[in-house]
Formats: sequence, C-alpha cells, structure tokens
Amino acid sequence: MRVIVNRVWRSHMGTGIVDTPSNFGVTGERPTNPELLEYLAERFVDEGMSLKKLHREIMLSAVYQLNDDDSKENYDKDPANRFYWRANRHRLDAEQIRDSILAVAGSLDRKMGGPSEPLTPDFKRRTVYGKVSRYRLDDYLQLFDFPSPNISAEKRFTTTVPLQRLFFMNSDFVQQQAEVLAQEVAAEPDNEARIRKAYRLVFAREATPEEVKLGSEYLRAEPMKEYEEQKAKPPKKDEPDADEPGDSEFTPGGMMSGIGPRVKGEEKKPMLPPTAWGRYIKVLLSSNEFLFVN
Amino acid sequence: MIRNHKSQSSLTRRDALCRIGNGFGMMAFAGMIGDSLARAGTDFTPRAKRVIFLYMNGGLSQVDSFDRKLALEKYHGQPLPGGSVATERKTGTLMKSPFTWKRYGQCGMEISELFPHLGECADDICWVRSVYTDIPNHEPAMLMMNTGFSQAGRPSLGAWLTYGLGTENSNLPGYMVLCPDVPTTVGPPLWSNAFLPAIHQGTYISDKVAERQTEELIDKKFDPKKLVSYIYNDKFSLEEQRRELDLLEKLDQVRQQREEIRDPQLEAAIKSMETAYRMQTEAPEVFDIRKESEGTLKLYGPGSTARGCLMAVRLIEKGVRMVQVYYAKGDPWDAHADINAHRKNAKDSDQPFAAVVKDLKSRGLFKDTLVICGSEFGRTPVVEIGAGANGVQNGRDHNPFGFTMWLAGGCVKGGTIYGATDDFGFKAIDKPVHVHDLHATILYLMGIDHTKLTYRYSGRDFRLTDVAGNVLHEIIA
Repeated sequence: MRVIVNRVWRSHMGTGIVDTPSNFGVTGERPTNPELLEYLAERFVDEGMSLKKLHREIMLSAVYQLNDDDSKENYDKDPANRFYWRANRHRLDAEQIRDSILAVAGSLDRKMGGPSEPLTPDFKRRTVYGKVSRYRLDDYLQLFDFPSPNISAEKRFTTTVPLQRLFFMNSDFVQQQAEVLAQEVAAEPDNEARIRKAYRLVFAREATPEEVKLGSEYLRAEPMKEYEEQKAKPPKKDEPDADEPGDSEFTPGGMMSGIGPRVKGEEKKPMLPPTAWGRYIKVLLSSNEFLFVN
Repeated sequence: MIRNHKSQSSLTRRDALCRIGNGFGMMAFAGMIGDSLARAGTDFTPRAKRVIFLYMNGGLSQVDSFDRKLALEKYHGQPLPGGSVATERKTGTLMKSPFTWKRYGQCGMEISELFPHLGECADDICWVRSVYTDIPNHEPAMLMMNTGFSQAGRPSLGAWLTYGLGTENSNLPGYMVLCPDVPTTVGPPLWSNAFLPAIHQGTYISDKVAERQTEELIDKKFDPKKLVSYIYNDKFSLEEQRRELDLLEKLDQVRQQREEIRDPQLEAAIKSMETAYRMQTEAPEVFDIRKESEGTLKLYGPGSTARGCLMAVRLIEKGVRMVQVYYAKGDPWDAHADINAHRKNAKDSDQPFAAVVKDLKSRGLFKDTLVICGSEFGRTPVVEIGAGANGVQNGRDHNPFGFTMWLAGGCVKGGTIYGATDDFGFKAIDKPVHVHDLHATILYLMGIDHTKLTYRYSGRDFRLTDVAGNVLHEIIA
C-alpha cells in the first residue's frame, strides 16, 4: 500500500515521499514524511483502495495547490524541497508537450479509445494514442525522455539537450501548430492586441507591458511580409527535391519531419507557409514558461 | 539528473563541478549542460580519448582476410574432421580461400589480397584472431557487439562512453553514427541510449548523397548541409532563427528575473538553445570534406565508405567521443552464396580503413584515438549448401565461434597477433576473447573500469559488460 500511494504521490508532486519508488529496502531512501506515507496508505485502504479517490485526496490538498514561489528562508532550510514547501517545477513529459501544443492551437482531437497510430504532424489525437514500439521507439518520444518500453520504469528522467531545442526550432509540427494559432489571433485589430490574445491562449494569462514590447519589436524587425499579405496567397507547394535521401526504412519521419529526411511514401501535405507571426508564436511555445509546470 | 536524485540540495552547475566525487552520474550531468569535463572521473590513466569503430556489417570471413589456414588449402573438399559443427544453415566440406596471401610489415602478418592497403599498416594494428560471440544471427550478434546484450534495449558502447566521459565539444553530439543507409535491419537500437539520459543517444547521420559507384573523389551533388538535415530545416534561415532565439532568451529571462534563486533546470534549458544554434553551424562545417586537400581525399579514395571514414576522422579531431562508421546499408558482408562478393566490399573499404590509420597518424591523433574494426561474427571455413545460384556454391555461413577483429591506436600494441582459432579457423581455441572482453578492454583504454561504470535502472545496476568481461592487458602497450 505504501508503495502504490508513494508512486501516485510522486506522479503528482515530482518527488516521492520515498524517492526510490522501487526500493523501500535498506538501500533505498528513508521516507521524508513517514507520517504522511502512513496516512495515505491507511486512507487508501479505508477508501476501498480506490485510486481515483487517492488522486482526488492528493489533488485537493493544500500542498498540491502550492505554486512554485521562492522563499529564501525555506530554500536555505530545504533546498531540494523534500518537505514540499512549494510546488516542484518540472518540464512537461513528451506526451504533455505534444498534447499541450495541439491543445493551445485548438487542434487537439480529444476522442477517447481506439487503436494506436504512428505519431505524425497530421495525427491530432492525444499522444497516448501514439504507437509505442518496443523495438524502435518513436524518435520524438525518445527525444523527450520517454522511458525504454522494454523494462519497467520506476520514474522518468528529464534531460535538457540541444536536440530538443532543434525540434522546436526546425520541426514542421511545431511550426504548423504555431501557424494555426497565428491565424486565430490574426482577427485582432492590431499587433498589440494580437500579442495579448496569444498570451492568453498560450499561457492563460495577460502579457506584461515588457513582453508586449519585446513581441512588437520582434515583429516589427522581421523583414518578412506582414501576415495578412501572406494569408492572401495560396499555400506554397513544396518543390520536389530530387537529391533528398529518402528511401531508408527508419529515417525520422513522423513527428520529426522537417528535421530528418523524408520517409519514402510519406505524402507531402500542403503546409501553411512559415510567417513572422507563426515564428513568434513558435517562440512562445518554446519558452520555458510553456515547457515547465510552475 | 535534473531531478535531485538522492542529493538533499538542488544543484547549480558550480555545485556539480565541486562534487565530481559523486561519480559518473555527475559527469553525465556536466556533459548534458555542455561543460567539458573529459576524464575527470576516470578510474585509470586513459590511454585513448576517442573511438572510431569501423563496422563491416554482415560478417567478414576471417579465413579469407586476416586468419590464413594452410589446413584449409590442404584438406579442401574434405569433410571437417570430427564431424561438422552446427551453424545456422546446412554446410558441406572444407573450402579453401580463393584469395592469395602476402606477408606485411615487420610483424610479418599474413593478409589476403583483399586488403593490401591495410597490409601497409600491419605494424600499427593489433589483430585479435580469437573473438567469439553468442548467437549466429545478425540482429542479436550486432546488438551484442554494439550494446553487450543480444536483445534490443540496452545502451550502446558509444552511449556508455559519453555517459562516463562527457564530451569535449559541446557544439556537436558526443556520439555519432555514419552510414549511407540503415545498417542491417536492426537500425537505431544499435546506437540507442536505452535507459541512459537521452543526450547519450548516438546521432545518426545518413551520408547518402549519391550512388556509391562513383569514381570521383567527391560527388558534385555533395552538400554538407543536406547530410545534417537532422538539425537543419531549409524552410528557415539561420538569421531568422537567430532572431527567434534572441527573443526567446529575452522572454525567458524576463520570467526568470523575478526569482531570487536561480533554477538549474531553467539555466540548462536556456543554455541548450545556444548549443542547438551553434550545432547548426558547426556540424555542416565538420562534414564539409571539400575543405580537405587533394592529397587527403586521394588517400581515402572514392565512394561513400571513404567519405564516411574521412568524416569520422574530422569529427574525432573536433572532440567527438565516438564515431561509428558502418560500411553500407543492409548486411553487405553476408557472403552466403559466393565468398567472392567480398572482393567488391573490400575494394570499397580497404583503402579508406587504412586511410583512417594513416590520416590519424599524420594529424597527430593516432596515439589517443582507438580504432576498432570488425563484424558481428565471422564465417564458416566450410562451404554453405543451398545458398548459391546458377551452379555457384562458394559461400560461407555465419560463424560465431571464432573470428578476427583489429584494433589500432590508443596505446594498443601495433604489429601483434592475439589469440588463435583452430587449424581450420572455425573456433577460437587460444586465448578466446568474448565480445564482453573486447568491451572491457575498450573501456579500460578509455580510462574506465568496466565493473564500475554502472547505471541503476529498474531496480538494479546495469553494466556494458553485464557480469563478465576481462581486459586484454597483453595487447596494451
């Protein structure tokens, strides 16, 4: 009971009460809050071992609802936040990143159930419906620290590597969803209003004056034509590229398209052309504020 | 590592640098955020800093290349004494090598006519003639050679090396894999990080630009930017991306300034953007072999294997920890039907492989670069039945019991022969070397005790060498 409640706790809070979730033995970590662990285990049993009730109990607690505000005093006492004086900041998981991008762009298909499918920019369902091959893990999932599906994983790791940034900078997926979002904010009367709307959509908060200023400056400096002009034109067709290496069986296609060589037989879907506004939104989607839960 | 693991305090980079005593986990962290901390955590004095692994996928026949057997010539056409050894397919009588042999160098190493250029380097190379592996099948044997385990799902040699040693150039991936196309049907599991942090994954570059048969030294179509399409999208210009990054950095900093305490996670995220951007400019630079002199290009000769080998040396020169070069796509050395198929493969690879050794020497990199070359297994000294067509029955089956691999540079004793197979070249009998022993030796040369390079995952410690592995001290100078 202690083991399972500790795992559920960990998934919500970022660290476990015992942060070696598969090792409660002598070589594992001692619980930081043993009374809490006992309480949760007991409650779990009393409530008929309902995981749903356990989730609810944890999520309704004051500690779960803390934000990640600093406190110098607390930090000096407990820098690793093992006593939960604030929320642990953590990067979104692979599935969360993809789902969040689709969600803010309004593209996410929330339908439940059904068979899994390969992850591609055209696949708009939640990432949990993406295909997971034990033999050949999807490149996108692997890039964002999806655990090896061959053995059980007690926890996920979060790495921060340049290739993840390259995904945001270069992938067709991110650019496309950013363009979709850009179209949504285009109806606003001026750039400032569009920036404010973009912040509301992406971060669910108002933009600060400084952020509006930075955004306006960026958009003004962009030599690309204004978004409206671009919109008037039909989507540019990709020109076929004869030199492109393409017939290998596994080269990254799917979510990685735009990054890796195109997979043979993969259809070239007409894409929204990259615009200054799309790139601006892409920057917002790549920001730490979007990628980390505060 | 971004998670605090067992440590009670959160770490900034400075803290991390002060705590190298915590071992390899910390080293990995340092590598992850782009700091060069090479060898700060080694167990022995490192003899080599970098590795080039030249891979002859499919299975080179040892008795037609580096392990001459006079008994095969004498007993050609007769059954193997003591009954046949079971391999994957049906085999027949002993079959002599169709190739001629010659002695090379001071050491007098006998090499077949397939590899005259390597012959010129005989005194720089250590020939291990007694390697053996577990399974006579391409996939498990390739996984064994690359990850130390016969099933997919373990970190590869290169991943372990960057995990243990970090990288010396934060603008390039620490572990790169070059092949004009997917090597065998295995593909990515061969360079996987598996459960190690994602940064240790091999970065695969398909250097397929044009057909291999070209006689020109460099194809006209060659464009280094196309090679690294993995990190490059021609829809976006670098100037645009520079402005995007500038904006992103400013926005991130605006958010972060509100905090009293610096968060190492966010710091690392900001730093990784810069690295990503620089990678886009540095990688095409390294791959641009047009910058090499005519003389160097001629040393390697034409073809994609040559190009891959030259790129490998250029990457190593830039501080990449390990580069693996696969000969070509599929299993081209898999000569079931006719051993003469080795002729073409050898023509493509002999000169470039020898050029790696020669070029490393002329660049002053030979001493601290370890070159390894070989296949996942060898081939049988007996003929295979049923694979040939049109009356040709001249091939050999897979042989996991004994085959040759060679090592050079990195303080390996040149001009030596280690171990031996039986009189017919079937089984390793003198000083047998399991793949684990080879891995242990490679790690040892890189300054790592293979029993100490562990990673705790799924409730237990994992090692490249599992619970085996003996260092071949005799081959180390």
